[in-house]
Amino acid sequence: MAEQFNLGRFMKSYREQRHISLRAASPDAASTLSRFENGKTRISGDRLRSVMQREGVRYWDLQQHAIEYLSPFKQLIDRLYITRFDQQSGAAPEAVRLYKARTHGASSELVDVVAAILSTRQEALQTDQEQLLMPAEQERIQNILFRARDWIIFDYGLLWLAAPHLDSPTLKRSFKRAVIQQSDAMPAYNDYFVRVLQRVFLILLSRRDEEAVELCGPQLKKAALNGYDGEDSLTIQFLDLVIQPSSVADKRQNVSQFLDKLKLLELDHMRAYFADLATKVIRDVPGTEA
Amino acid sequence: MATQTLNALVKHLRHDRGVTLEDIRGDWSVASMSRFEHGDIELADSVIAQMAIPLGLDYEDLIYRLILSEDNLEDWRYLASEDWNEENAVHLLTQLNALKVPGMRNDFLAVATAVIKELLSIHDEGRQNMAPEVVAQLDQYLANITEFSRLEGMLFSLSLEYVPLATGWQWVARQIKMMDKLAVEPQVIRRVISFCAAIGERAAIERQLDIMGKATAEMRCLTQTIPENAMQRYNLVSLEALHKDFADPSPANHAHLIAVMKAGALIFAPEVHQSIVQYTIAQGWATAEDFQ
Repeated sequence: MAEQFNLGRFMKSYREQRHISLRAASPDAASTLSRFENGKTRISGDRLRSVMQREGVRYWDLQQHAIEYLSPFKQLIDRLYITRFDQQSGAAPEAVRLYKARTHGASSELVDVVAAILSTRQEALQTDQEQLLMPAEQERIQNILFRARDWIIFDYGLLWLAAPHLDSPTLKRSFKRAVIQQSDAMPAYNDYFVRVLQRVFLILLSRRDEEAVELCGPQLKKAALNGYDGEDSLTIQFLDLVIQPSSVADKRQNVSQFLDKLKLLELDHMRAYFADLATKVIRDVPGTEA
Repeated sequence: MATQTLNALVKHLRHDRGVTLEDIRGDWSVASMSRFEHGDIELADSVIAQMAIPLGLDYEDLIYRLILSEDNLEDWRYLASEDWNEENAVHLLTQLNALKVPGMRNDFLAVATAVIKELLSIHDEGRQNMAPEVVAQLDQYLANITEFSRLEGMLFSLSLEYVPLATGWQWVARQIKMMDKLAVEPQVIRRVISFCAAIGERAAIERQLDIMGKATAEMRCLTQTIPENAMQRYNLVSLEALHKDFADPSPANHAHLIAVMKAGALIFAPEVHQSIVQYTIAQGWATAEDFQ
């Protein structure tokens, strides 16, 4: 993706490649479209959408090509999310670099908070140890999440990104807020909620938090009902094995079968990730012993 | 959910985040932003990008909230054979025809409407393949396009089912050649991998081992350029196992295929996994006993 993107230029080459005439794309204002494509004028949202419709362009396409159609934060969390099983991946530092470049010089509370999380994250990666944010930063994050009446992707993403670096009480309070936010009225956000759920559950389990199962278990059941696939399904099934009321020996056995299947499917990063988690999580998960 | 408007969403986000009009105004005046928030004026589309940093707002939020409607995307989904719905197809065709400007060239609308019309007659007459002239029209259109848009990708992948396998594979191979693997986003590569998987599966049904081998080899190559993805890895490993079992039906190869398919239970919801198993049995690639 080019960092210097020009929507007009993109739309022009898109249109020309498809042999769409200016007038076919914008019957009542062909010359406005032409001037827009050549960077000579702005175009109203309504007019742009009507051109997009005639040319078969979707916002998805603009997001693939146009950095201005993908917010710096969403770009960051989406990239970190897809490489989450691979701590060594060069894609994660690249995502952070790009985010910093795109927000450079901006004075915004949201950018400040994200910068604090990213630096704590960096420390955690370097020391290979859990690192918590300063209490004041944690409070700031909690305030942002509690002030927001109606969460957008940013809020779910903020909690997802900050989660490993929040102390357990703050993490649990914020997660409860996420549960309230998530509603059937806005099912589009469910995927982001499930990301948060998986992450919070795994963190609380690896911290041996006594409320982990009680807090996250019912949400996990609900999520599983929606029929998740891919990595979501893997994670949900892993969590399910871990919290089953069974002996430690049985759990180890089940998880080892789980890991063997990942090996068969050549999912090496995921296998290493879950193997590492299993050592942290399995020994004596409170409340799940037979 | 009541449909929100952009100005109302911006206003409440700004309030919740404690951000001023000055913080979000970008190139506009504070007065313009204020009138925009009150719904008195509309600003250029680029205004939305200004909200990304101070408010954390993304275009996708607007799509989720139906503020920017990606209308008729659902209709496109119903064109695929497994979800075919004539009513949606007719609806979409009518909408696309209405977007045409008489006498003005628009190859996208021309191709899309030709394909949908052809799909309607294919389903009506119970034919397998599209008429040669429609295939040729698609072929010519696709040959110019370095990277498919989302709709073109949908049109392409559903058309693969209705053209001869060799033509479909040619199209996919051409698309791979045109793609700049280093420059494109992982999502785009994933989509091309799924085209290969569609070809591989079709080749398996027709027992075209040569094309099956080529499609899986491309999949493996492309898979290495993107982060590990469970679903695509499963598609790859299972197609490879099936190919091996076809080419050399030894007990070990067959056992490997079954083990891979059983491991798929980790990747799919139970009922989906069950239907994959049933399908495999129905195709004669495995027996019910294999899965006991």
